[in-house]
Amino acid sequence: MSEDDRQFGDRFDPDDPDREPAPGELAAMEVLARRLRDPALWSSPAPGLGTSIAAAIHERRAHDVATAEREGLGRQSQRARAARRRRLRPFLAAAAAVIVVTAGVVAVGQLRGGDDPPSATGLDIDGTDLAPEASATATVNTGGNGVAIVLDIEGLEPAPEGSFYQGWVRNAEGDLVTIGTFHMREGDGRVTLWSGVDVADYPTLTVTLQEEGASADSSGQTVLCGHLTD
Amino acid sequence: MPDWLDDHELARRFPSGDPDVVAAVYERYGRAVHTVAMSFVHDRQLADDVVQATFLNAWKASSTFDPSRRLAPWLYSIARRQAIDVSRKVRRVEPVTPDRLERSRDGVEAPDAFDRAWEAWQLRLALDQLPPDEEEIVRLLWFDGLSHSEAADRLELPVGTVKSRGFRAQRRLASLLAHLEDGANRTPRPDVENGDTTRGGARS
Repeated sequence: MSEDDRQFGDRFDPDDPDREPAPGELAAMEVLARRLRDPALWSSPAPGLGTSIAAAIHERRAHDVATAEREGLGRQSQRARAARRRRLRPFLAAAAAVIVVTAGVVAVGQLRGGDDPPSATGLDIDGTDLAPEASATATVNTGGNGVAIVLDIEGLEPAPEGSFYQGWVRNAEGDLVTIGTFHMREGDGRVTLWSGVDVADYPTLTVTLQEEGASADSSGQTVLCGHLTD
Repeated sequence: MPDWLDDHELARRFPSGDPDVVAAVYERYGRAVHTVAMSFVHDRQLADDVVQATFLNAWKASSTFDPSRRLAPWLYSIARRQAIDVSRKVRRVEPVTPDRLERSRDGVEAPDAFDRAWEAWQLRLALDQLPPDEEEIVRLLWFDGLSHSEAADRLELPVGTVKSRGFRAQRRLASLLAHLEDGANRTPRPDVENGDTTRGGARS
């Protein structure tokens, strides 16, 4: 037998060098050899991928738990408020008429200037020609300190080293206001950006790829674009 | 990977999202998921995206998975579906060329592609069970196509050692993969012959 025999059905057996292969054994070995030539078998995931997946799942799990707890507290609080209202109803009924009359104008004014308009959810943000595989779903939450824009992004490549992604909102005149930066190198694709301007006035959201150390202006390399109003 | 965690225990703990358990599931099946992804998308970066999506989606669905069932075919089904989704997205943005039209004839929907991916999945899991030195020799001899002498030079081992390790690996693989051959004991592909185990494995 040649040392250079490359056949998978090599008959060398250290325990029994003279052993003849069983009927069909060589054919089975050949099938196995053909399967072993599949390059997909020998490709490896990127180093650290498992760690980042575990971290992403852990983060998502923590987020889900926190959300559930908030919702639970909210329900408890609603129940407590309802019970309190029932207890105080007789006293409040008498006072309500007076309060409504004297504070009605003020209350209307406060409602007009209030900062808790309904949130917009499930807004589709599309990938551009620069990132056609990318897409995102946006949720807008207007709070007392600004507008939180949560993007659940899919299919957007991690920003190459030396670059990053930057979110912007834009008004009808084309004025841009930055709402934050991110890189997508780890994590599960959920990004929270903050806007200090009303998205009703700046309804267009864009995400650009920016170079570190370059101008603070938008690079114009838009990878995601969509509208933040229903 | 903690040896004390068997497949059912991993499946039972997976919904907790405990990083150690997720890491153990990844260590056991991550490379095989990557292999299935590569069978469809033929691009390492895209395959990694498929791996990530597979594990995230598996975790999201894990609370409905019956841990008394086997984890492997369930993960395979999720990986295959993710890989096909990514492959279709990539094909949608590729310009239509004669070459692409030619490739589309044996594209991801072809039954052959499903069979190849299923075989590759099983073969990768079998390779993962080999000792590292035997897997290395299998790669050198039957993927890189080196002779015994060339492999011995590369590994700085005697030729006889390369031969004996290669033989052991070959026998071990043949034994681990005997169920792939046609016959009564052939393991059915989960998505065709036994129903889709992503659904079948889930509690209703």
